[in-house]
Amino acid sequence: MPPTLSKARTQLKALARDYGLEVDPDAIIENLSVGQQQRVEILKALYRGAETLILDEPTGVLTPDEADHLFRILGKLRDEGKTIILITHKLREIMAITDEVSVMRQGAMVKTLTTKDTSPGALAELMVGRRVLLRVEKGPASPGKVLLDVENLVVTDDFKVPRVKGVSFQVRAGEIVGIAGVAGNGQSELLESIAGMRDQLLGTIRLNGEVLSLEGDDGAARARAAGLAHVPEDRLRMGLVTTFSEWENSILGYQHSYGTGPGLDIAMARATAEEYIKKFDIRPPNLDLKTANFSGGNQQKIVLAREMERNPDVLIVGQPTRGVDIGAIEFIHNQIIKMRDAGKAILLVSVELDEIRSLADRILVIFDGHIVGEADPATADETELGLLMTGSHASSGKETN
Amino acid sequence: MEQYFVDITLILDSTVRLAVPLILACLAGLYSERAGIVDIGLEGKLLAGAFAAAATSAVTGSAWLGLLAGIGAALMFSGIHGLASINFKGNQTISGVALNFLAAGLTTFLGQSWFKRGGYTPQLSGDQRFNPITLPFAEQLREVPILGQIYYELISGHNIITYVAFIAVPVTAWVLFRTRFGLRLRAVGENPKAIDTAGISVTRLRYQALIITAVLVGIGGAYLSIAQSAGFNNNMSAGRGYIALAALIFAKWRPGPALLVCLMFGFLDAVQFRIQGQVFPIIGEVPVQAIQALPYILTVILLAGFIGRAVAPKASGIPYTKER
Amino acid sequence: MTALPRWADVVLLPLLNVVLAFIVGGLIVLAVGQNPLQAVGIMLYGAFGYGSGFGYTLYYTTDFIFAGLAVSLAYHAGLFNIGPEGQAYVGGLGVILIGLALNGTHWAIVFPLMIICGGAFGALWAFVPGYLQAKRGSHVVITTILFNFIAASMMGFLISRVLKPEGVNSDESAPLEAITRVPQLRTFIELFKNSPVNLTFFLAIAALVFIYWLIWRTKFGYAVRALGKNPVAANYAGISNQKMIMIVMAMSGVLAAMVAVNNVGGVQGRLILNFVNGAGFVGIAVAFMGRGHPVGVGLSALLFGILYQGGQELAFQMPGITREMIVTIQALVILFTGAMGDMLRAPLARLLVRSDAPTGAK
Repeated sequence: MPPTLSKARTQLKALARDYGLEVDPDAIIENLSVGQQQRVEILKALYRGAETLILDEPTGVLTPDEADHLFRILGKLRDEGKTIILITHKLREIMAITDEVSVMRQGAMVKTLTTKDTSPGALAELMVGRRVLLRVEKGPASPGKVLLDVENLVVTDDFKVPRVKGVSFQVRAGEIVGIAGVAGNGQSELLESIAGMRDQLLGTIRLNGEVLSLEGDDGAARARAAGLAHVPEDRLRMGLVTTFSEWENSILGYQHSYGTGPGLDIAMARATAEEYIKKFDIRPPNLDLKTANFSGGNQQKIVLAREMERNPDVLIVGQPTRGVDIGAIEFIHNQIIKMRDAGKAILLVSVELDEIRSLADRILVIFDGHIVGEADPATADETELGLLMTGSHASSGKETN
Repeated sequence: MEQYFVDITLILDSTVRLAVPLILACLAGLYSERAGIVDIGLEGKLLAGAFAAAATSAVTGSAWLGLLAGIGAALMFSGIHGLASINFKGNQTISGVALNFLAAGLTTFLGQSWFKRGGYTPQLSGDQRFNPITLPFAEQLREVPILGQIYYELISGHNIITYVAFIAVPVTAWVLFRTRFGLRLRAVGENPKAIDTAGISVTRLRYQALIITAVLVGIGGAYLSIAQSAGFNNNMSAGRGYIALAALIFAKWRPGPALLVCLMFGFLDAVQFRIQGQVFPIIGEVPVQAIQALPYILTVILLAGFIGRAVAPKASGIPYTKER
Repeated sequence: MTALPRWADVVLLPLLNVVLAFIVGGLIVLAVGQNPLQAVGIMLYGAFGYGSGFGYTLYYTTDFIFAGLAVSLAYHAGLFNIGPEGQAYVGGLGVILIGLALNGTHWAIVFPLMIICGGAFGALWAFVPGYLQAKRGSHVVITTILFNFIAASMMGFLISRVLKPEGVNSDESAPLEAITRVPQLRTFIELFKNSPVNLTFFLAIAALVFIYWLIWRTKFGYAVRALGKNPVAANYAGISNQKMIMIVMAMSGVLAAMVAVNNVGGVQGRLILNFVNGAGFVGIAVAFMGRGHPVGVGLSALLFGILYQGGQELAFQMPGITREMIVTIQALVILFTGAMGDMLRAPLARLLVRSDAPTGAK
């Protein structure tokens, strides 16, 4: 085996040089950054002599800079005569690098167009089947008192490695604070810690002035009781029990308020579910259907309805529109704005920079477990944010702790 | 002094004998678990292998045919396990438990139907068994102190399966870490989707793993009935499949440590036989039951504390479903 | 995912799986040269044909209901408890200790105490694996298996060295007086003469109803099911997974220990070596066959009661078929209803869709 291995290594190195895909061939994959892992995937395909490359949402985990680098490589491959199929929900990417675009809606190809003859607006309309607003309409924020106060928070992951390394910030009533960053920089641990699912090593979380004690593995119940609602990043893994029916998921986390004794008041739970279905236009409107059988957008609506309709003081939201169709995105964004205007404090974590920029009133950038900068979405420059997100902007306001 | 040396050599010798089925079953489990298939059914395969080997050997008079039959029975059980857990995406633990009961029920039932001896197979002798092999120069070196005695008592004088078991350990390490097949096997246990994306059949790989598992555990079963003993008796695997599974966890799914842990359990077993019924100063007589339970209690303690986080192959126990 | 109509999913599919298990079992009987149909006839007669046979059937059913519920309850929480065998065995210690302590007292007082004391012992034996799973991450499947072995050794020692009275040859404890034992139904009902079915049978029926209520009608049951289906989501919902695992395992142990009340308190009146005799393991088959639902568990327990009692009859009448055939059937049932439960799903769905189509067109 060794001779074959060293041959493979030489070939990979040559390929990496030719295409600007430098990675250490002896590194363990899980120690590489997501961007580098992406390069490995492409290298692998090239090494095997692929003529056609299919990329499914390749930029979801990349910084704008890394994404640009990827697109340059793709451009080069195209020029060499390789076929590239790019599957993405980001219209900007379609417009930037493709030659031809096909729109798929509900399992059918709706239309195939030459990219330069179309526009993002036209594509969005094809995707949804009706006119959509690509920009979120919202008025100015009127922040009130501090509802969520996070002070010097240190959180570790499942393997006791610190992921959040001394983070402090505040969220006021009536404002949306967005946390921008490349996936895997501590956002998930931050969210889970505030939601009471992960013990903090150090630091204090105050909700409405009261210190939240979140020790133990039922901290989420105490966080909820204190007025916090949590829309998790991954609804299938965390936010839903997919084998439960719709109505059962409509009370997940709030099951204790349905019925007075040990018994579960099923009639009351079903009535609530019925109400959520109407308010959030959840389809199909069938509260006995297993949650697994709903579309991504409708599953997300089930979670949102449950977390928003209990009138919480603080709402923390992770990746609210991941894997959700454009039509539902519009609805979800509007609901979040509505919550803000009702005077709630909202913490929004998303890897979609566009989403953060259009929803948040203030942007905090997280990198390697630190808040490395704050920006005003109205004036923030995309390159500037991108640099912050990769930690390459040391001059800008390092976090004070 | 001399007496102690002999005692220790004897205990170590029976350690080796008692460890052999554990080593084979443990390596067997290693292949399937590395490929992402949990195998609680090792116990059943061991038992089925033992029965098939003894029954065939008794009827044909050939230990080698018996060995083949033992492997064949284990293959059949592996096939059922594969069908349930790979094709029908069933729960692998449940399938394993079912196989254990199936083996317990069928071996006794068929044994009684065929041989009418209350579930026992006829006594085996001569070529119906695998007999000890004297390694070259063992007799000559016997008189050499210590090293010669170790060679004669400990290394020489075992049956062929014992040597196979010990050779299987480095071979497994080589296959697992130095071959393309091994790389794929480990990958399919960690991330079957990546294997699928690379254009390799997950189903095929997992079946290949199950086949190797069956061969090894089948040999282990044959060892029980036609090498270590001279015939099959009811439930003669007596929990060894479970102990092998525990050993696999201790060893964190690595062949070298698996050998050591199996030897340790074999040693415990050997010591148990030695101190049974003996009266010790201060403690007095240690009850048989306490000695019998010791490996299990030790396993629980080890499982609870010392191994900390034994991280199983990521995909183990999860049937692979291609997205449709 | 292939969608099946609800009735097919809940009734037809499990039924087909059971039938399949029995067909394969029948083929094995056929393979050794016996007539499976004749065997079934003998078994049915043995189980229902006469009063004491029927009584024995219900006695075994009682055991299997408890063991089946023990496995089911844990399984709803995502825990595969393979240890009811050992939990019942250790539960027997609690039953005999309270029984002997109050020997001569009227059963009306001792019976509830046997339930509590036996239950507590069984709970403890299941709690430890639960604790190790919750706090140390040791897999409950492995630890409950190990605990079965440890229980066998420990109880063997206690029975043969501690509980065995002077001058008794067989390995068993001192007997309880008649008034202290759980009364058998034959004292009230003539039909059950010479059979051991006792008041514990009604306890089993009550347990079925209680577990149904607990799993599907309470907040606790909701939490149990959430934990079993998605532990991360349960944690998200503020449910303490660790606490739930320990509580559920302990409750599972209580249920398993009721096997001991039935046997030690109601039939033997003493603690006998290996009295559980596989009943705990039958619980696994019963739980999967009954799909963890108390109605299913009740019916499956009855089926296995028939197999066990009928099997005794069979062993008399057809010497070619030993009792181990029942263990084989038990294995096949676990295999076809548990591990391969979805094997027939796709073909069944196709069949039902096809037969639906013409009716839809009319």
